[in-house]
Amino acid sequence: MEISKDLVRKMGELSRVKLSEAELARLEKEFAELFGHFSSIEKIGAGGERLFYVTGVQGSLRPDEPRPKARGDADAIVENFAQKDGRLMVAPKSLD
Amino acid sequence: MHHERIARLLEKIRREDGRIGAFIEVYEKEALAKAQELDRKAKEGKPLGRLAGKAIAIKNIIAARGKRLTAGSKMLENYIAPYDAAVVERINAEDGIIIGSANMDEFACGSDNTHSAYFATRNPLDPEYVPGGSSGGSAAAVAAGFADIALGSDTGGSIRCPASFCGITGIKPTYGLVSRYGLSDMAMSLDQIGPLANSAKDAKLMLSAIAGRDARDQATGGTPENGKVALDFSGKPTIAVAKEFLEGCDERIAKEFHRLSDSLGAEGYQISEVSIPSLKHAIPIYYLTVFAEFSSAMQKFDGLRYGKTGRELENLTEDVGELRGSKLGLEVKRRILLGTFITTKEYHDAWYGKTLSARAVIKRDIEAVLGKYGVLLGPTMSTLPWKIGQKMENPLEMYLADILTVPANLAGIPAASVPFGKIGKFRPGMQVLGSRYGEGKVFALMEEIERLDRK
Repeated sequence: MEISKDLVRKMGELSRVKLSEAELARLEKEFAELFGHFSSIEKIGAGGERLFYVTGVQGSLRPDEPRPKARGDADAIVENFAQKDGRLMVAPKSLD
Repeated sequence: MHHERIARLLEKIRREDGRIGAFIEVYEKEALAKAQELDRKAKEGKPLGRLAGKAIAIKNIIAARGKRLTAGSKMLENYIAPYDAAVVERINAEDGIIIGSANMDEFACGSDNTHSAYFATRNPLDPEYVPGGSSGGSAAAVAAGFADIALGSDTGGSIRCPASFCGITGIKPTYGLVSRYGLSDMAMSLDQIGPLANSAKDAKLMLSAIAGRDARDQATGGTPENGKVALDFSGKPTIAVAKEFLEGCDERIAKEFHRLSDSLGAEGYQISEVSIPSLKHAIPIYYLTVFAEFSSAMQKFDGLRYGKTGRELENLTEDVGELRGSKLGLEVKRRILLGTFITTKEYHDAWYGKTLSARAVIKRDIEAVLGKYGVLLGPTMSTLPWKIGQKMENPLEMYLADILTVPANLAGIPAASVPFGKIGKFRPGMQVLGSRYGEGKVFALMEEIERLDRK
């Protein structure tokens, strides 16, 4: 399949990963080789059952109850925020 | 007694780890305090847990409360784990002594530990060679004699590859046997935590301590409670050898494998050759699954929630992209982009949809063989360890090295690596695969292989 530098750049934008020109050039070449090799999946299972999980376990939910340690855990989670205002995380604006 | 031994081990790490690079952080103070506590309990005649006194290293992708959880990445350089992983809770409850966090390929992306953002770990058998990956620090810690047992995580061979390269034992348990609560996920449908050790006995001891249902990990829903998981089997499991396991394998490894097969035959084991043609497609199926799940898992690392990055972000789209671009390594970026690509609306059916269907086929084919035979046997890796830096340039070449280990993850079955024979300085690993929750038969054959190796 056709892989172009613009396609790689677009994937970078969608992924929120900024790439240098050198990385774009390298990934363009590598992706063409990888997809060439990976196209062999066409040969098996096309159109058959899709397997997401191997366990077969469904709807295994824990009781919805407060846990004694939860408050301590929450404080430690807040402590990891890069920028915060009290117990709130400060996030950058998404619109100008 | 425990205190004295742990102090000696810590001294050894201080003296020798500069040459190996197994640890990202050593928990000296906590390890000595725990050892002292065990000595006091023993003196008072109190009962000790199953792991009493064992020095344990944990891969730095597993949360230990109050300690840095870097996942081998600069992205999480200052992230402090807010709670203990389920496996850490169980180690602590069983009186294991956690001595430090082990180095790894960044976010578990790699097969040789040269993709850590901090430093490359070296193979204790020969420091010019890689230890395997991505749990290379865990394997090196055990092989160098720094730890009795280590925990790794295995998404496509990340326990078995380094176990094989470092000449030790490792097992990836059945998917869902061990809780992943507190494990930073790489690919949620494939990840599993497991032990690396110097013997099958120690690996089994650790697995008995950490296995069991946990309400915080839905994948464990079909697993018995801790302490009720069957890990023993008496008798000789029947053995199948898939001929595809030996195609393209290093001749010296194949020779050791045939020697093992002959020895098992002489001991009365029934060994049959089988063919599983879909194994030839295991690498594309595995990597395409990983790319999709990994790109999704990595979206949470945006520079806002997981540790201070030293940068103030003003614009959500551009600044987050720039931060991730500068903090993540090339292999991680490569996988994120590939995962984004195959899950876009335009390409989803052509790539990800077909991958899921192909995975159903390979799982069915492996299960059909394991429905007839007790275990599958083959080499763990088709190559010996390579020199540091040798496979950095070509990602496809690196991915292809995982051909023998990824099938077990795709099928969710247990698979172990046990050293057998010797090739120069290295001891190649032999891989034993069992059916889901068939760890008993896997351990039985691992112990037999160890016995034959000592002969």
